[in-house]
This record gives sequence, structure tokens and C-alpha cells, in this order.
Amino acid sequence: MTGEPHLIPGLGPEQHGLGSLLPGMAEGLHDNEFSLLELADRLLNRGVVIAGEATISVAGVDLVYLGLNVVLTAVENLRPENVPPRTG
Amino acid sequence: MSERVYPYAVVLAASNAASINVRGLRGRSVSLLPAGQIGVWASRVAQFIPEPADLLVHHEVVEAVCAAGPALPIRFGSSFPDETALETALSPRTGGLIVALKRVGDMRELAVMLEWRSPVGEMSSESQPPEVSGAGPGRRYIAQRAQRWAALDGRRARATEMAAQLQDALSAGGVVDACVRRRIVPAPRVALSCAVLAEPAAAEDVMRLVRDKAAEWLDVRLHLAGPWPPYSFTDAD
Repeated sequence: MTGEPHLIPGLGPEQHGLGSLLPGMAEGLHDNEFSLLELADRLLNRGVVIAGEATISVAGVDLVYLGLNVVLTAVENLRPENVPPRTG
Repeated sequence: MSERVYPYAVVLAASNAASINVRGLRGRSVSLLPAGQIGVWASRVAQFIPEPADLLVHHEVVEAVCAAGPALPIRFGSSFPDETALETALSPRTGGLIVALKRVGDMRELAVMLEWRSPVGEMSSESQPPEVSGAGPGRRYIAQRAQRWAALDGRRARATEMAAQLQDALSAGGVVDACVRRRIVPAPRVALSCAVLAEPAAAEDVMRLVRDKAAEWLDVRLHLAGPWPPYSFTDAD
């Protein structure tokens, strides 16, 4: 499920969302993949937004251009080898 | 290099624990900063350039804060030059945050996704080639586009129907409409993405309701996750 980030300048995170990720996945989501996707979506797109000094980049990628496919690539790097993610 | 303040979650000043047993970003300690009637759990970090691994650290801190009492997660990636700047940014929203904190209480969020078993255009009712006799490539292309849009419309209608049925099932189980946030077909592969707010003790029952309902639908695959902090319920509405 890794891959090159597919960034579309001009679209916000919501527009990138799951839509930009899932068409690239040939088969159905595994539950762990789903959990990580949904969790990453919440971390990046939900929660209290505090105006002002927000830092808007992850690893040099502006959040406004950050799709969940990017996050998924990132999520691959979050997981220690052979250790299932803690998702709830 | 100057340090910055990185916030994780907002709490009621009087209702949360004095300390939590978790490390924050870059292994830094997490402490409660008072901000009037509310407080903010935060870490001091070096000039903040977020990295992918920080996502799960943020989540783990928010989980620990929520385990200690009512809390609203702050969106990942915000940092402030100092505590005063953070308090200044929060102060206009204090009233709404208190309302949201009291509404959410100790409840947790469950994630529900219905994934189409067949990609759009591949269900038997969607895959008949358009009849465009004697048409050139341009007209055939337009006909194919129209067919795809019609298929998407059909999927939206189907997803809306499932969302209503799911809400009915949840309501029958005591989950009010205000505790459900839903997105209909947020992506071509996804019929429905929902966040459901539930008391921790009721989470298993809510999941069972969802599983039972989804078992009736042969065209989607159910994914469930959580309980998580109430990421989708931080507004005051």
C-alpha cells in the first residue's frame, strides 16, 4: 500500500481525503488499513482548530495539499516492523 | 533554537487529572497549561517541523488525556511561540469549547465505514455499455461519462438509503442523531463514513447494532474501529 504521493495542488484535505487513495487500491481494505486511514483522517481533518500559529506541513508537505494517500505512505513509516498498529 | 508550545487537547480546568503518564512529541513531557476556565495539555518542543511518526504520538497523548476525563482533541500540527500566544488564540472560543466538553463528556467515537464490494461501474446494473449507434468517439465518450455519473448517482441514493437505515437502527438502540456524523460517498470506493459518539460502556452494544444492520447489506463491506477520542465532535453544535 505504499506509493508515490499523488498531490493535486489547489485541493484541500477534505477533497483529497479517501477519494484520492482508494481508487489506487486494487482490493478491499484490510481492517488495519481502514483503522489507520480513519485515524489519520481524524488527526489531520478533525479536532479543535486553533487559529493563528498553526504549522501546516508534515515532512515538508503542506497540509492543504496532503491527501490520505500521502498519510497512508506516512503511516507505513509509523509502524514498527511486524507490530500491528494500536488503533483503539 | 527557540522552543514552541505544542497542544494536544482541551479540558475543563477543574475536571482533569493533574498529570498523565505519557510522553509527548520527541519524548517531551506533557503538562496542563491553565487558560481560564479551560486547560490545555501541551508539550514544549524544539522548533516544530512535524514528521509522520508524530501523528500516532499525538493520538496516544490525546487518548491518555481522554482517559483522565472529558477532553477535546486539538487538530494535529498546531504549535505556538509560547503559552500566552496559545491562551490568546483559545480565549475567544472558551465558551464554545466548554459547551462541547460538557456535551461530549466521557463519550468515545466509533468509526464506521461501508466500503463498496464492487467498484463504481462494475455492478451488473451499471456495466452495460451505452447504446450509441453510429456515434463517433466524442459522442461515445460523452455517453460513457453520462453512464458513470448515473452510476454514481445510483450509488449515492443507495448509500443515503443505508445511512437512513443505520440511523434508524442506532436510534432504536438509544443513539441520538446528534451523536452521529456521516459522509455519504466521500470517495468512489466508500458508501458511507460515520463517526458515532457513545458511552464507553455502550460501545460494544453500538458496534453490535452496526454489525447486525450491515449484515443485511450484500453490496458493502463493513469496517469498524475505535473507541477513539471524540475527534469528530469538537464543535459546540
